[in-house]
Amino acid sequence: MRGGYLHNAIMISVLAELFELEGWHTDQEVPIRMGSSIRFVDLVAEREGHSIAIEAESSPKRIEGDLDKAQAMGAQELWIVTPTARIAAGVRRKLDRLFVPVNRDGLFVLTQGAATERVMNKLPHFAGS
Amino acid sequence: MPIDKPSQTALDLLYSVQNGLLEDPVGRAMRRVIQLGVAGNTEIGWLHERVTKHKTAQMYAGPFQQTGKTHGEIVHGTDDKGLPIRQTVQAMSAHTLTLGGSGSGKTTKSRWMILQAAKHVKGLFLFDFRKREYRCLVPWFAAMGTTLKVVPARALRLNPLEVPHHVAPYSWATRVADVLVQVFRLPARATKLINVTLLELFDRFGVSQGGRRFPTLFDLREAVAGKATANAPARMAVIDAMDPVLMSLRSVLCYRRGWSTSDLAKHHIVFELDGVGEVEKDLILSSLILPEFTSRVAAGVSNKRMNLLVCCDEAARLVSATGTGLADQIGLIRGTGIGLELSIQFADIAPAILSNSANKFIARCGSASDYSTMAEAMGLTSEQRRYMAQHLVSGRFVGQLAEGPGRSPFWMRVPYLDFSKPSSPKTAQGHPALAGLLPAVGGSMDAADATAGLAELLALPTEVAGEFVDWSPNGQRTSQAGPVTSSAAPLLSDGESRFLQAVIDHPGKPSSAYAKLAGVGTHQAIALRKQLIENGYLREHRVNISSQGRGSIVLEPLPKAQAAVQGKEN
Repeated sequence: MRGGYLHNAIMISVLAELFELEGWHTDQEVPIRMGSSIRFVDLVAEREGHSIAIEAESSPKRIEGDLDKAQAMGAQELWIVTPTARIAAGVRRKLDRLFVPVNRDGLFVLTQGAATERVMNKLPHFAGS
Repeated sequence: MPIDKPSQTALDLLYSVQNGLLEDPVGRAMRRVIQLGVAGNTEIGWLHERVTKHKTAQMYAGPFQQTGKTHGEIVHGTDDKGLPIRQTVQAMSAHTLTLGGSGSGKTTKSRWMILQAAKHVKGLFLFDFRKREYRCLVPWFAAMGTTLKVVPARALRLNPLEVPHHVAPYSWATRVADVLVQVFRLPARATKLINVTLLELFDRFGVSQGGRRFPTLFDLREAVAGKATANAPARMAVIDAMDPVLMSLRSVLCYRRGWSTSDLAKHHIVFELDGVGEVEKDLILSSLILPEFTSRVAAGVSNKRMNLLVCCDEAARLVSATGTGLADQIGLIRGTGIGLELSIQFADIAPAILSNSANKFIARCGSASDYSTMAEAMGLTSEQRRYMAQHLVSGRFVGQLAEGPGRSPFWMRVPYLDFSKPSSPKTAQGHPALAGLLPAVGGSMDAADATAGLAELLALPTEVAGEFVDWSPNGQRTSQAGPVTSSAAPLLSDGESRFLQAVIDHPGKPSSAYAKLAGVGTHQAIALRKQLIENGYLREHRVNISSQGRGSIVLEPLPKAQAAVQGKEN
């Protein structure tokens, strides 16, 4: 698995575990064919035909690639999860520059804590779960 | 032109001010109305009455002045009227020297003062050189809500060569060389040999480049032994002097990083050195005191509030005119937040110690020369000297304080405290002037569990020099090949191991959670975390693991941590 301890053990693994606990099916490092190359989505959570692509990012550098991957795999939601609020703000600024609306149309920029909370009790489609 | 004689009222006022007779609210009001010139006969009568009373009392009090009302948190004792003689905690940083023969009450005075000062200072080092006089304070400290940790000499973890914080390695090498020559009573020629060898070791271990992995005294001994071209008598003197000490204190000195004195200075500790030889005592004392002194001086700490009190019972070796390095340091540490309380039985005292101890007490002594030395240092008149030599009995002291009314030598009594029994009305608890100064202790005063607090110290970060654990002078192991390679899993303290295990077993928790998981205190967990990060066992990340508030510190165990924990399990 690519990525360091923070990316893998703290962010992706913890979120995957939480999704599983909430009854979702998860896959890590899901390969996506994009033209002639293969790219990987950090985590994909699926339930009742609803799929969420989750990308853990420690900087705004690879945001465009994340958007492309989510679009290519046909995910209903893309969560860009960052370790700190400062990095989340940087990601939002970058998305602003790209004229991509945040927190609408299934795109969310969340800190690790906010993502955790969202999985546990704030997923709008599955509020009863 | 004739000069008017001062009026009787003016003389009374002057006398009253000089003797502190107007320190109460009524006295202050009297002084004000007299100074403003609006005093009536009543006020003048009151003033005269106070002066007359004081003079009368003074006639019966002997040649020593009564201190009158004194201020401060510490009560040294009481005067003949039973009034407490007080002093501020901060004034104790001017250092205290007590001279008294065996059974004169100096240890009781020291304990009494320690119990009061403990709640005002962060760190307390109590040195018992010959007996076990301080461990009986454990229940009293427990009653105050703090722990007095009793550390036997052989439970210590020290490296005298460890460079204190803020001190340049080369400066420390020179300082340590001087100290070792004094401690081991080596010839002057050995100073150069030890100094040069230490500098080489500091280079070899990377200490001079800022590394924090230090050579040990074993490394020094082996390096000196390996210097075939060195002056032979000096080399042999070093080896002969060090070998018995290294054998005796092997378990104490086999640490590349021992207990840091800055860590120890946050605890209340009794160091019981009664079980080791005199040279070992000197070495331990130097290793515990000098780094902290030197570090504070090097850090440029000035006029700091006192936060470390060092008390030495039977400190003759420390203050002796021919003794080790305290006399050099005592003048420097004034103002660095360290207070010294030294008690001795006879007056073999280095001039620097006398000059730099502004608080002095003398109790009953066995020799006229002892009285004479202290009397001279305290500036006593010949009448006071005679009176003191003839009237001092157990529990009575002549004192002189660093400041305030107690600057003039005074006569004082220290309350008798029976530390072997629970507090009773016969002890200080029942003394009207001293009520409330000490906590009530209802439990047994048998300090059987005196070493219970030791566990907290054993959890302090250290690094064992494993190759010297079974060292013997017959050359089982040498460190000529340099530092131990990093592939060998270094030994960790129990606290470090538990902390690492908790991090590995519970990834992704905020760092604050590991204190409970590892079963250590919060402050200790912070110290362990910093230590393990510094030593390359852990890496920290800042992560917002909850949706609100500041980010938490999340710890990543590095491969070295995994190896260390696995090594421990195996």
